[in-house]
Amino acid sequence: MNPTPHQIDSYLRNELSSSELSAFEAEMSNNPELMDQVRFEQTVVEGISQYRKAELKARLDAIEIGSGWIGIGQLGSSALVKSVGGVLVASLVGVSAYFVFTAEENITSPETVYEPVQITSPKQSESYQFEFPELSDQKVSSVISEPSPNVAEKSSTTSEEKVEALPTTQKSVASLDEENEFVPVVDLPDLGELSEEKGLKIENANLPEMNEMDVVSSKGESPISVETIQRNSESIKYKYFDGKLFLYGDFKSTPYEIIEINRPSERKLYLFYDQEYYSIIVSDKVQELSPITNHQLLQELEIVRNNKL
Amino acid sequence: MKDSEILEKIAKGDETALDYLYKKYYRMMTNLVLKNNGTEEEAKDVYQEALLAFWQKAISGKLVLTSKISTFLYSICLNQWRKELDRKSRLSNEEVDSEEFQGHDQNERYKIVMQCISELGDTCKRILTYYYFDGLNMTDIAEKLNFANTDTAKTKKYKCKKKLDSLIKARYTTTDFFD
Repeated sequence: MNPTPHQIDSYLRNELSSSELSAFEAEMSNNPELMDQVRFEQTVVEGISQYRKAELKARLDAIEIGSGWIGIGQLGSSALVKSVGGVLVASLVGVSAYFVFTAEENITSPETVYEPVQITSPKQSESYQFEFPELSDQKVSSVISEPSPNVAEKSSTTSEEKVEALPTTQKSVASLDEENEFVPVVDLPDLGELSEEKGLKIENANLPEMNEMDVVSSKGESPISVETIQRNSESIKYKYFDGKLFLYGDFKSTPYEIIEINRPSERKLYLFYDQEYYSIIVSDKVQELSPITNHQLLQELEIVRNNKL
Repeated sequence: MKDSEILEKIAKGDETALDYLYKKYYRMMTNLVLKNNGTEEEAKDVYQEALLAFWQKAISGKLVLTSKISTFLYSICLNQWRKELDRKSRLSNEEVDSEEFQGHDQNERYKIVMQCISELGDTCKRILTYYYFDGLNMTDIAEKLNFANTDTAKTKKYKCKKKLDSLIKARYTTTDFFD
């Protein structure tokens, strides 16, 4: 049999059944012409694949990735903003519901009660429901309104006037309070899941876990200020005083580099000078620097310095 | 977007799902490489390769995910980066052998093919890449490219492939191509 182009296609797309495959391969080994043809087709298909890959990569390259550290980069785009928004809305629901209900409880004449506002925007309720499935329809569509200071004033003055009605009012307020407080608390699990994702673990992964080290703040920390004091001696000394690093040594002939590694919990300083690395431990006394000998640390510093991370 | 929604979109060849995933997990995946002696460029490369491998698997609809997409992607990145580190260490040990040399010839051939594809019309490029790389079936391709029906897509694919083959062969005779 001579395989049709369609069969070659199927072979290349791994679509042949096991019996068809063995028949095809048997045919191929007996038929050098077919073998050549298949090899040609394979190259073409691989070329097409590479073309498409390059195209898709170009597409991905064009996507702007938020710079900055993982926390903002990841949370900022999606969940955090929505979570915070959700918490805000939830609290708004809570707070305003509080005003609505207390006002309704206290103010007995119905005509002084303002019109309650309903959340009707489908877009809003949709997105919040998606992010916070715990917020039931009922809660989202529950009556809310803008908390106006007027209302608060009104309710407090009326409650003062109607002192005799106080016991019952207080009771209902208390129970409402409990109910309202429930809403913001509900939002927390979503954040929890996210932080879990950030620290994704794979078993057998011989790699350090993602941890707080990921949170490398690129802003906030200002680079350390350095002052050099010219000394013509071979050794270099330093002192860290009042947030400033003083270096004593001969820096006229050889430049120095300061490598700062900032983590949320700590800040590490290293000095690179004349092909040697030195660790700087914050101290206000003048200290002599001795080169780092820890091989692994040296390697890491070399990488950091070369990549200017 | 939920994982299931993303997979649904990918199965239809919707590239916006790819954009979405890329952005969402960029930091998580690239950090894996960055923290293991990789550069930003290498990290990006590994992540893009992993994401495209995932895209190819997911588009076929044959992928059964037992974990979150992020977990799955992470493990692909991990494997890719291990392979790359392995390759690097072999290179540094100067074991550059005939394997690399043969790869060079092969790469030349791929370049020829890519050059010829770029000479095709846009429709042909779309059909052939969707079919051979993304692995979309003819029905999906017809839908994506607004063809009247599946048969139109089949016919067009056949013609485009013929055209491509002839372009390649015109440039190099079959024997040259394989020498």
